[in-house]
Amino acid sequence: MKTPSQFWTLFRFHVFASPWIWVMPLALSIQGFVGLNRYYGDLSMVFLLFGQQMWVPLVIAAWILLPEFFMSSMWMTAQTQQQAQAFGGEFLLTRAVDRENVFRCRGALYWTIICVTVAVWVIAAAFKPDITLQLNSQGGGAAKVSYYLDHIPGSFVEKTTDGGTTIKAPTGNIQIRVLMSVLMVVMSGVWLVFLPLISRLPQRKWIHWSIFILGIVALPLLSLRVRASLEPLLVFGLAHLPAMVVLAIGILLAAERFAETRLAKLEFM
Amino acid sequence: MNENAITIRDVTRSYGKTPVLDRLDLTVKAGSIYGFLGRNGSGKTTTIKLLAGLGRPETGEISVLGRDPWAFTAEDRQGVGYLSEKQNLPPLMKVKSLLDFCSRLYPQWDRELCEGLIARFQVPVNKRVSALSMGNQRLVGVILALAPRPAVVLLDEPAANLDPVARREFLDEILDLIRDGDRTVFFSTHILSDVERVADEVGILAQGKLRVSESLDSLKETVKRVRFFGFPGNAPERPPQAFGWRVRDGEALGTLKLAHPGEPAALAANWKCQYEIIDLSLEDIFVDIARN
Repeated sequence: MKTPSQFWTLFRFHVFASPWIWVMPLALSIQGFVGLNRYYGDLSMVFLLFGQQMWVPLVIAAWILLPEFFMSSMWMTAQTQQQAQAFGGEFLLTRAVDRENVFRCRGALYWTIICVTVAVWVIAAAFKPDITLQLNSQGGGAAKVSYYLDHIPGSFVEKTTDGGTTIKAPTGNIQIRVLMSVLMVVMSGVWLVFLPLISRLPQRKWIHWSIFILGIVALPLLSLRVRASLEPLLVFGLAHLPAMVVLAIGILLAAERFAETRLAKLEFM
Repeated sequence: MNENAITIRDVTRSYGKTPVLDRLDLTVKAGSIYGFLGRNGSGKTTTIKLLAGLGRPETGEISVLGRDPWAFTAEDRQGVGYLSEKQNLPPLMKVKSLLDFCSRLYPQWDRELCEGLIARFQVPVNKRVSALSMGNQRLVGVILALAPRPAVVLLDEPAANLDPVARREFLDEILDLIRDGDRTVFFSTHILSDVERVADEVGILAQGKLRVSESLDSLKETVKRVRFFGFPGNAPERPPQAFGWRVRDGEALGTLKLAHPGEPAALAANWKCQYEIIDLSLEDIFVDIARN
């Protein structure tokens, strides 16, 4: 079978192998419609929202690319192990397929899920594209007003009836969602690199699980702590959005290539 | 085709610090059925996984149909059928969809054979894999391994979970497959009667080493239990050609690999004792080799 034809056969297999794989991105997509244009006068709230979601691609990546992670763990219920078996490497890698093609196909499925999710975020933002930052309620001073105006494209100041100051950005929500999408793609790329690295550790499952759980728990907690200091990064991103999108695409391609090459060398003993 | 369908040379493999295969050497002739025996944990599954290209040996070389399994391309894999011990089939797929998926990967997929096997094994194709009994899941795995009519079939415990009727049908199918052409079957099992029924050659693995590898007839001809008795003094120490050696009440009972039929007589003459040769079944041979 020719490689492109083999790829699509494998891709179709992966798409329908387990409906459960579509639950998490569905949940993430729904979140795109709920309350994501409320930043309460503080843009660093974006990091708070993002911090709660950034571990999800790790679970999706592990589920699709390395289901063996879940299949032989005593921490997992028999049902979970059975679901993970849907993507089991041993079955596929002993059929008439090219090893690299299997992992390229899994990478494609992973990125399809991530990209569909972030596309839903951006599309959802189009229904309520503007944002209003009520700086007075958060004690934002003149310097912060000026800072936001300089960096958020299209933003302007509006006085409220009670004499307070708000900053309005007519397409601010879309811009923020695009930036969140960039962050999600970058984070997904980081996980895609992280997974083959921990999978090559010596055969001690607890090390894998410890690092895995640390990734899921520690990073969201860290994002809670450091979100305020990350605000300049966010504002910088908003000011350079096209460059950020190009960067994300570059990271996607590089991470995919890295993971594909590394995972293809993995043993399934 | 090469004379040997499978060649394993000086292969070592371990899991962490636990050695599993210790400088394993093995060859399987093209067109033969090779029964691979060993106790649990002896390294049978590891060997079969290495042959299927799921891992790499730490030292040594493996060749299946003249190619390194680790470097198999899709085309190479068309020539190798594999049935896993753990049977990790996608549980949520319907059997029909699974067969359809696999048939697309193999240009030489034999639809007639596939349908014949489904009918013969009475596999419900409209059910999801997870809804099948363990035995039926096993049979689906067997169909997936045989339907592409591969040149080499690797089967890890193929008859596990099969009822006696299905097991018999499966063994008949293996024999048919071999009769059909120049195909090689390499299978591991604990069911020794299956080996006696179908295997041309038998290998017994113990502690990661291949202790014997020869035709069933030759094995039964050359491995004998010999009772030595009537020693003038103490019974002698275990000779090097003995798999097992037990001394009790002035008698020695040994399972010997005989280089020639006159060897027991020569040993008895050397020890100045009498001897008696006892024929062994494959099970006796296996137990003696694996236990010792």
